[in-house]
Amino acid sequence: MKEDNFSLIDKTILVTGATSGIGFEICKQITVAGGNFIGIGRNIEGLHQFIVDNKLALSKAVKFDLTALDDIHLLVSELHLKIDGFVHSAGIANVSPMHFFNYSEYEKIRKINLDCVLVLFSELLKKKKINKKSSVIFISSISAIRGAKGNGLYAITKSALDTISKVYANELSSKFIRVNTLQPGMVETDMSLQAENILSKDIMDIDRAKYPLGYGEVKDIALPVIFLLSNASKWITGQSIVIDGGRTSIL
Amino acid sequence: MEEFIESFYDILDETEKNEINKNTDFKNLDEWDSMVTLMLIAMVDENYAKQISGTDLKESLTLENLFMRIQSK
Repeated sequence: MKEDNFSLIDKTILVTGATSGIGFEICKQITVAGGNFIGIGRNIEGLHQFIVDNKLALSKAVKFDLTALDDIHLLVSELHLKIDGFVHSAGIANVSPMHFFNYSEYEKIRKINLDCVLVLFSELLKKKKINKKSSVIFISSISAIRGAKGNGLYAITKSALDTISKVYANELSSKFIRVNTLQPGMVETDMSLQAENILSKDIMDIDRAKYPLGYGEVKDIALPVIFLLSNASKWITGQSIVIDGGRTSIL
Repeated sequence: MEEFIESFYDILDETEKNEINKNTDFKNLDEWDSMVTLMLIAMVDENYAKQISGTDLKESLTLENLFMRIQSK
């Protein structure tokens, strides 16, 4: 049989934020590529239905609130197999200009976007739940490299993911575990729809016009994630890759 | 001592358990590298609240030697 370096056959991928938006699409594309997923989220009904509809015996949906940092070790203890990949897609955004800095809001956004990964990843390594040659991907954002008004707290957490991924890439290189981040521009999801409701459609239309290829679809992020999970990207580690329809490349 | 040896074994991935005992020449393990060194330093800090130095590592041939140095701190 011809070798398929893009396949995820026999691989199990742990996905956070798996029950909506980009994370849900990543689970779907893992299935298309022949792999299995363990999807973590708060509202797992939709993902569970997807598993049932497609008879995915080796994939599962796990209801868990990742902001419960002290309970993450329980989540890891319940993992009965070693994973071949980890995708952190859980995240929230808010509008928070400097004048209105609010510490508890900062803590809330940081817990889910960043802190839970530090705890979860550490537990996975300590309990030896990550196979050699695994691939780890954190969903960052172009907000990490461009200063968008009102986006400071979100941007801090995303740029921290970019930085820590380089450290992890170095620390885990002897096990050939690769760690990268993707930096999407605006993708049409419930989260961006929420932004449209807050900011008004007019503002969003002005923003949309700055994207040479328009706003992205969830698939535009999920498919590059599959590439990074697969053997086809085995020499890529410690990188943050912009995927934004050209948004940050034009004047 | 047993606990220290167990904790050292826990930070390793490749090495067989029977290779790890108080007489193990730990710096000559195939798996010994910069990351294992850092994990050992962190493990000693976490379990014993002691800081080990480059000299401690350099002058300890076996795990027992190292454990003695940690205890004398």
